Amino acid sequence: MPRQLRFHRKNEYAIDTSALVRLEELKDAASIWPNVFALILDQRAKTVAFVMDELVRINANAANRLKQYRADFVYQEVGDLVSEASRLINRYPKMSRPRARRTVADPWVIALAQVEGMIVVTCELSNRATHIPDVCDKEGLKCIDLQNFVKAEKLLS
Amino acid sequence: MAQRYRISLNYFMLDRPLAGRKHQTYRTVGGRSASLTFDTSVVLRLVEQLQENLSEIVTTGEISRLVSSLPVASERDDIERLATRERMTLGVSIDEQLAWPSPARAFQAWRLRIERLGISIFLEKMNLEDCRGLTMFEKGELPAIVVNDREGTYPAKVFTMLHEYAHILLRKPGISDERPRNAIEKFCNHFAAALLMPRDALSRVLTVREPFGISEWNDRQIAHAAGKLKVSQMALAIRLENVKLAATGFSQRFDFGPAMPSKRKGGKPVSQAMKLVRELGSHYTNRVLSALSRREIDTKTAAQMLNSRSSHFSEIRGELALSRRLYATPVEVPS
Repeated sequence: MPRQLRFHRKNEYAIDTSALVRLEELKDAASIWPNVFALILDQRAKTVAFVMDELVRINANAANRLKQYRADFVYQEVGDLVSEASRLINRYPKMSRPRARRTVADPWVIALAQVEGMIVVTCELSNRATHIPDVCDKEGLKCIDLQNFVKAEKLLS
Repeated sequence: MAQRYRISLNYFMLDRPLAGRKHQTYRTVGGRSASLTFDTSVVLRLVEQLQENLSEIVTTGEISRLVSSLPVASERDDIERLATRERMTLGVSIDEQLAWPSPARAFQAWRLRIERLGISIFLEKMNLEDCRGLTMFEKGELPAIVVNDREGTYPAKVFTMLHEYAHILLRKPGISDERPRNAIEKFCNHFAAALLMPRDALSRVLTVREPFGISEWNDRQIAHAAGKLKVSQMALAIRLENVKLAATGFSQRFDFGPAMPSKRKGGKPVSQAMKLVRELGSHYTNRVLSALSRREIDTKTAAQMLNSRSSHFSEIRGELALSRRLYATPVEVPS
């Protein structure tokens, strides 16, 4: 359904790698993950393929947990994100780390949130205007950390 | 395409290439400056990113404090005195140098002493035709040295590291081939040799006639003395020429060492943590992990800055502690 026709829809989330890494580190991880999977199956939590690539390199356990949900979790219409991601990369090169060896997912996660009207979930810390929370703030996007995400969606059962 | 060019897809999304840093080159091919191969360009881009990462986690106040406390030198300085002063700054005695058990350990010890000043030292594989090492020292950043990991031996790497340290002292960063056609390269070579091989150290490993005078040295004597000092034969030969203990041109009998990387044979397997600390050095790695401990950056950012799994962090911390214990403090010299 086109975005503009959705009324009173529930919050939808664009999840960053840092939130998934942090989630895996929590002592309550085992009870939170099933609720995250339910959100994914409900199409309310999405991410971009670059996040999954980062996750495989940074925290293999979290990546393995999400493997079977990949088709639902990863946003498929990457073409829709290109122009927005490109704008963000050019506007915030420090966040996008273009010189890095591998593609940094941050601008793509924010582009997903912009295009689909989602809330960004990240555990990046706000400092010196180079991280996701600072950019979301500048772009007028709602951005929450894992703790608030867990609370808002009552993920800790 | 991003994979082929070993660069992030985000780079290709830029409207125009990022304003590249201008790297002064001291390299010459037939008197002209040489162009860089793709491998070396990739390393330059990577180290620029590492430098940006550091700027993100080290406050500008701390950067200016560290930079202003770094020693300075001028091309007009007496190189012998300068080398003596810097040897004291780094805190390496001749006894300690002779006691290091291997060239690899000597490299680690010299590296840690320089890193303690706030200088990052990275080991990266570059085309040896391009350069032996390079230095980055942009305004508002901490300095960094890159040593070519394709140098075949540790003594050669030590020489390059100290040569690049001289570039930092002179505040003349750039890309070096260590060929003495260029006056700065000649100065830095002379400095590195003087720092590694003070006259007192030469007297300890060679039978030097008093008063100092030109001697004929055979290959066996040079190999033995170079081994004791953990320097390359080429470096020792240059040094003997500089202090007039060998005839001009004596060093031409030697070369920079094998051009191919030395292959590791046998031994214990190398862990990811060891590989990472070897490549990125203690200074950079410590800075990233400290920023993580202070919660100034999150786990993902730290993992990206180190290009490592988060599960390796504790092993990396252990590796850093071990390295500090082994190399940062003077080796006990048997009496």
